[in-house]
Amino acid sequence: MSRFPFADAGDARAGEPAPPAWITDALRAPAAERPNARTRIMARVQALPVPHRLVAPMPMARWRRRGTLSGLGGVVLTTAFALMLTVREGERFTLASRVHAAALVLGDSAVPVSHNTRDASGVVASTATARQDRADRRIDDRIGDRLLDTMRVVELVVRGVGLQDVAWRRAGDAHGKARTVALARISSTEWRTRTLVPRDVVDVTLIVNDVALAPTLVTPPLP
Amino acid sequence: MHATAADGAPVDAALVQHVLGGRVEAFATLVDRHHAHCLRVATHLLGNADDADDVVQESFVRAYRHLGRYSERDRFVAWLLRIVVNQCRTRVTREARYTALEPHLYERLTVDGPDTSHADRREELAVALAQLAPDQREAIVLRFGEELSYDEMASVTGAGVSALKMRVQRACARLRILLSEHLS
Repeated sequence: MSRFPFADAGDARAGEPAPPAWITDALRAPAAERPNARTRIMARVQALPVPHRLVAPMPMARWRRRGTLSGLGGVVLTTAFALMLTVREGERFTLASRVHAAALVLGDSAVPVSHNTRDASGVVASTATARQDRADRRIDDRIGDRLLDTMRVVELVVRGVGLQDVAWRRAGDAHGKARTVALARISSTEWRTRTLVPRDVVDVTLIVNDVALAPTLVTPPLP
Repeated sequence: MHATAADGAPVDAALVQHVLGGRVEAFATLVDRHHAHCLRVATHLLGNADDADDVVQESFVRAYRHLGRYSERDRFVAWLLRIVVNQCRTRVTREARYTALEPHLYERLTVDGPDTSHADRREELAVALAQLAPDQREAIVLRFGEELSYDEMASVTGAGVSALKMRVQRACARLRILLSEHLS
């Protein structure tokens, strides 16, 4: 009988190669022990302190772990966010129902290009205040004064009861540097202002009592 | 009341409890019970009787020092073998002792039975084992020498079951070549 066909040895398990019996016998043969091995081990052991059972630390309550939320915490937080959102949207909806905000297009006007960088109230659009910027702007203004652009003249009108603070801003400024311009109070129920906006789109947002509203665009009938 | 085996002797976990309770002499029973087992593994892995004896002694001392970490869910012998295998790896790394075994040295490593006709085969096996990669040698010794399951082998070696199966397969193929060459 051959000593090497591993696959047909008696110890073979399903699909597993197994060495012949003489190899397993050799591997299982006891090793030659040194005298006094047990004594030497016990002598070293007895010189050591008695070991103690290690007690696993109690797991910290989930809600006390930093950065984790219990199921209830998650529900509470989600509810709070949902409530805030609902209240905020509810306010806006309520206000929109009792306030009439409109952007009346009065017509077009040819204005120097340099005027584009200023809003209707005369506030410089750029927030740069450095001297160099002002010098650069003077040069640009000189060029821009000679070039004309057609802007749309729009009158923003807000009518409603209980208005305390009415302003407007470019729609794109919502997350940038908030540059709001207050509307002029005409009466206790009406606020107005006139401004120039690009012809292609009236991107104006009205801020009424700290709630953002989009005005209704009212264009004049074609002649 | 501590658990006892079928022959009335306390099981390993009960002996561990005795030791942790301050009865250090209970550890001697664990040594008696598992010393030969550990020595055989260390001898096959290191191929040197002196190193194997040192490693087994150090392993038992380490096991005693860290006995508090032993979990009764594990078999004590598997936990102990993990220490032995780790100690063997440390020894091999430190001293690069996984060298080919001289056949005449091997005669002194194992106890031959009354039938001495197999002594030459054992020498051949020792030489072949010494030429295996360390991880393959571990796999062969634990699987066929100690008859551990693959799960137990994974616990002892820290390797995955599929990796261990592959090691056993490759080790068998390599042994087949090595022993064929040697005997031809």
